[in-house]
Amino acid sequence: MAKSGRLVLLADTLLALYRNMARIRAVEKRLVQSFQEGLISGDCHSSMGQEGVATGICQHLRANDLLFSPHRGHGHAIGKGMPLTQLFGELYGRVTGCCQGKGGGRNLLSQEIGLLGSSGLLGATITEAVGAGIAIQLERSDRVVVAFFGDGAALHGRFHEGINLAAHWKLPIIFVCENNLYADQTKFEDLTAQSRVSLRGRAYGLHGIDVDGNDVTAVYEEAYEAVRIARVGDGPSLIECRTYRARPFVEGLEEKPARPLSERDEWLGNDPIVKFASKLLDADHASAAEVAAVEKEVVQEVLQAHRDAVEAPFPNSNSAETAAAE
Amino acid sequence: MKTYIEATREALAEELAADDRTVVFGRDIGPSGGVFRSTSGLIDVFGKDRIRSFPLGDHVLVGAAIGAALAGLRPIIDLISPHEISGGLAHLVQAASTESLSQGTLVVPITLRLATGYGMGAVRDQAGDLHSLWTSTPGIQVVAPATPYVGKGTLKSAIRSNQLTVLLEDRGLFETRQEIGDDECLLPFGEAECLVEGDLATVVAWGAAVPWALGAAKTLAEKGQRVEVIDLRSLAPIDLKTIGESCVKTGRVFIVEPSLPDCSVGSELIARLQETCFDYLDAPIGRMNVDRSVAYSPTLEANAIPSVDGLFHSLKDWLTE
Ligand SMILES: Cc1ncc(C[n+]2csc(CCOP(=O)(O)OP(=O)(O)O)c2C)c(N)n1
Ligand SMILES: [Mg+2]
Repeated sequence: MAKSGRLVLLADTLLALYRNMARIRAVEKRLVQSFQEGLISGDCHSSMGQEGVATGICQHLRANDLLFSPHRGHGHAIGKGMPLTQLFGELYGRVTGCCQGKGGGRNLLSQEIGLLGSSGLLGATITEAVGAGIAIQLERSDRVVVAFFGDGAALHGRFHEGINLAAHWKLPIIFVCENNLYADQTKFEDLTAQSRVSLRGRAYGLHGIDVDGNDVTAVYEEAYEAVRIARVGDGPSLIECRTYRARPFVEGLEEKPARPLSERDEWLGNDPIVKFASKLLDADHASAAEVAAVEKEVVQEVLQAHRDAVEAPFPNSNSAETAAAE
Repeated sequence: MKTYIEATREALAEELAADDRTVVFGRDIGPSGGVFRSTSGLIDVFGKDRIRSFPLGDHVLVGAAIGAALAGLRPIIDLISPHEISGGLAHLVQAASTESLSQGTLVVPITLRLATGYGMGAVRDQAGDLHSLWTSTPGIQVVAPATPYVGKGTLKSAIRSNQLTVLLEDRGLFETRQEIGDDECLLPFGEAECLVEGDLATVVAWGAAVPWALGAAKTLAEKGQRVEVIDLRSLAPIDLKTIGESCVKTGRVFIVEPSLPDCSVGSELIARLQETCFDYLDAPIGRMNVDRSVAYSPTLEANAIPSVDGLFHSLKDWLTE
């Protein structure tokens, strides 16, 4: 068992965290290849490198909790339990996709798992979470809402409008800023004089927390507390997770100017999965064989989902939607 | 030969050099030169104060451009997807009435460049199919260029114009190439251009639909059917004179739109032709649009977006109706 200030993490929990991170990584690796093979026709925003955040947060969510995710949302959907066949089907534009191939990777959603949208409209996760929070407050349940967003979106007006009201109305929301230091090609610090997003949260009266997003147990612990607070009606939190994307802003983009090599090396040397694996082994929470078995298992899962998607049919265009609009 | 992006970048460079009140506001227009490379290299010549990077955020990008314009600058909002600034729409609607309210003492000489268009897996938000949002606002002139030359000429005129101008620029055209001469290349607003003469029918197109219309007209001509092709170019105001005269000549009008059909520029054009040219029309006006079923999957896209071939077949059938 790993001990921390507040939480005792059982070996089962630790291995579950590891499995989820490894699953997201395996998906992202396959998607990079699929993009290069022309299987993905639109934008593909990889979350490789940021698996610790999606995993540490989503692990606390129940099936009926709600989630809003932005454009870089594969990991969030997986964390909330989207079957991989639906994810691959959607990215490959097939009828088996979570939106029958109509939305692609920037539009993952599934009522069934409480993923109410992954939106290309930045900042929309924040404002829409406010509405979902109101709905939960009115039903007097202990469900919670999570809204993921990037550092770029933290500079958008929707961020300020949204978190102000969430704090004022004590809505059951966990706002999670994945601060990967860049919005597209622009460095966060180059466009703000206050580069700590968590401090903005505090200024509006939220619990504002900083955490190393590449340390999955640290994220898990902060999220535990934030989710607990939200469930008992003590209001929203804002968790800023510092992390780094391992891939370009969007697949196929040659980044110019490239992110500095020293910065890349430092962050990629701090890979959340590699780091966690050695932590598990060092502390004897898992054996090398267990870790290897997990790796193998998720790679199999991903391969199967990929194959299913490749074999699935494309939708045909005389869809119900056209008929309905006529 | 220059691509659309190169030709319009040249327009920016020329106008920035000609008038130092001209500034470019945009997202990611630092050293990377913008999402579409529309400002590549300009920062080295004109500096980061005039080629000014903004964070993402609809309100401040649009609002700051309006404030700067009111205070005497001539801002260009660099190529951006419409969903990135549509939150600033109310700002623009209000600003568009400034000239009239101030009896001409204040103007808002903003050029807003929007990257629109279907294809490449762009879902509806990215495709930015909001053409009629802009055309239905009084005080805004709206242009949809179809070639590098028209792009350059319109952009230059827009920057010099005191009116708020929106350029709807189709991503699908960004890599098209054309020979661009050394002339000053300033194109007037509100004028359509007849690209191909014919007598059987008038085909009106704009933006990305122009190449479809030209391709279909060519195939029809090979079969002995000569249709007139008009590039509407200016969506607000509409050059009803040029379209009307052609309609009087041919007696039939077909409209091809690079966007959705509902409450569209095409709908407006049909209404105006009905008001002014009813007696000259020998047949109901035909139209082709992007279908409402357009979505991410390649099959849904291919079936929903018009093409040269699809348009040729539709026109052929329509002509024999
Ligand atoms: C309102 C809005 N503005 C701009 C964009 C264009 N855009 C898409 S992703 C992106 C960068 C987002 O950066 P960040 O929020 O840090 O997320 P990251 O890509 O780093 O995960 C931008 C500017 C958009 N989709 N929506
Ligand atoms: Mg970012």
